[in-house]
Amino acid sequence: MSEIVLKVENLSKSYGNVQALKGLSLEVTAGSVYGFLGPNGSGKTTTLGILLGILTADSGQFSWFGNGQDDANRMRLGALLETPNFYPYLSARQNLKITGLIKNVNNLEERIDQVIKRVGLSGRDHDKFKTYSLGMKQRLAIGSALLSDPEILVLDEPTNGLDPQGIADIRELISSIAHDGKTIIIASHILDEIEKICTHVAIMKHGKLLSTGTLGEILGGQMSVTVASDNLNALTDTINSLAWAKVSRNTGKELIVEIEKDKTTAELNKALFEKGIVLNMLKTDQKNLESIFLETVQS
Amino acid sequence: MMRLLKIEWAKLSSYKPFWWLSGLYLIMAPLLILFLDQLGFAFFPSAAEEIYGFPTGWNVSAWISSWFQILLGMIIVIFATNEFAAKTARQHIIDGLTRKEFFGSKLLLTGSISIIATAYMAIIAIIASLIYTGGVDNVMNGIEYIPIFLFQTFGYLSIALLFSLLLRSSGYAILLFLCVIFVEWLIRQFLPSEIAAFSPIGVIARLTPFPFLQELIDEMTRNGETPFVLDRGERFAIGTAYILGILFIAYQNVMRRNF
Repeated sequence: MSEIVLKVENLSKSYGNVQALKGLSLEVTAGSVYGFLGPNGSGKTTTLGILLGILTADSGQFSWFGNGQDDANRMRLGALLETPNFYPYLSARQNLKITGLIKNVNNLEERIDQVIKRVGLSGRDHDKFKTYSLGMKQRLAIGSALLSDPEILVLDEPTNGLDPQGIADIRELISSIAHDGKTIIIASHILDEIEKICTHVAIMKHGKLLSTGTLGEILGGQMSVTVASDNLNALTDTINSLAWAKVSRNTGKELIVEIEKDKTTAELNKALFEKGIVLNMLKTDQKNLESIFLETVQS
Repeated sequence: MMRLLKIEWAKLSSYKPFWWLSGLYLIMAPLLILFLDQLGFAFFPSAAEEIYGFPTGWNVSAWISSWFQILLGMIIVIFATNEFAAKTARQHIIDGLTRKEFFGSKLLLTGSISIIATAYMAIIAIIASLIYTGGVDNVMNGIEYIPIFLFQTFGYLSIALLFSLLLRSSGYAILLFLCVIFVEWLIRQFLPSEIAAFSPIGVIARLTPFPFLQELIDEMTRNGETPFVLDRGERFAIGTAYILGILFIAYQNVMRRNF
């Protein structure tokens, strides 16, 4: 079992009458890429805000690196929360210098050079932050998070507002950082992105954790079965009459069917054939994160 | 401490409003002081030596400089509220600065600006004396105006800092800062002097009183309205209490509020 770098216990937080977090508990192990999913307003940013010291929790606790809530823990993190926050009148270089002074980075000038190169801002590093495009601002924010070569990277919606090329660039950047063996905690709406890079996933809704586990556990080898026949109504009735299968969705052209884990599609086909129904289509898919996410938050 | 000062300087040194406001202060204060004798203020002696010679020279330089402390207050307000507008205060905390350090860095800046403004006030007093009296006779006499002016500037800037941290918006904080200064002055005009003498801005402002206060009081006494005036020790003690109170509220605000 690898080392636990973040432990959250029973965290709660309200804004006036709105309870944003309701007793959240989770653990993140070293080296994992931990994806934080949830619809808008599910409490992701509130959670990260508390973990990063800018919000105070009403109750519950958390501990980074087993050191509790000590301010010094944040020196070992690199974080981007919601928006890139920099001085508009300073250049990328000058802004990074301030981050470096706060984080006590050694060989600061050299590190700034490396980071600027890594996030692809060479050539624009002396320009003022306010002249940057959204994508460049976001890349600078990731660069700033990387500056101290932190043990853990916390990224909240790092691709927010970016164009497809910008999203691809950031995803590639995050993949390469994950490749270096860093622990990454990432909140994102872009599930496809999470599925590509995460090792662990937590799904939140209304301030609560709905499910959590490794990506494999969450996907769980769950199959989605799609069937069609000439008469969809008869097919629906017949499937629902089986004790171990259920139609979960009718698209008008085909049916999405859930079957119990110990049953196979061959058994489904055979049962339907015995009841006089001939399928003209039978397809199985590994469920993707998006469909599992939607099922989890809608249930 | 050096780390926090370095961080503040890295932000300030390229910040244009800082240079504009500082420049205005650095030009306006000496201009007004050096040409004061030409303005023919009431109660001012006609001989320039009596205005600029020590000990009065210290009082004159401190009194006129104190009019421009408002520009220094603006620097604090614009700079400190900018940290909230650009969300850089939030980012600093995320990056590992403690809330205590954030407050400390602003307090250090307030202190540094007060020290520089005080040194500048002292240099102007000496230059004025050299120009108008041809020397610095009696220079040690009245030199207590240096620490008094330092204390006063720090007091004014602490008020500016408090408003910036409470309101977090430069527009509102400047408005409140100006309102408090002028409205309090206005209210004081209608209050009996026994009460007005204790008002926060009044106490801090009168640390560097009108240089020819005694003549003013004598005149008022002749007219049958002796004003109530706190002595310097009392003003200092009450001023200290106000400043500590202001800084305490500002500190608690930084420690408790969401960023």
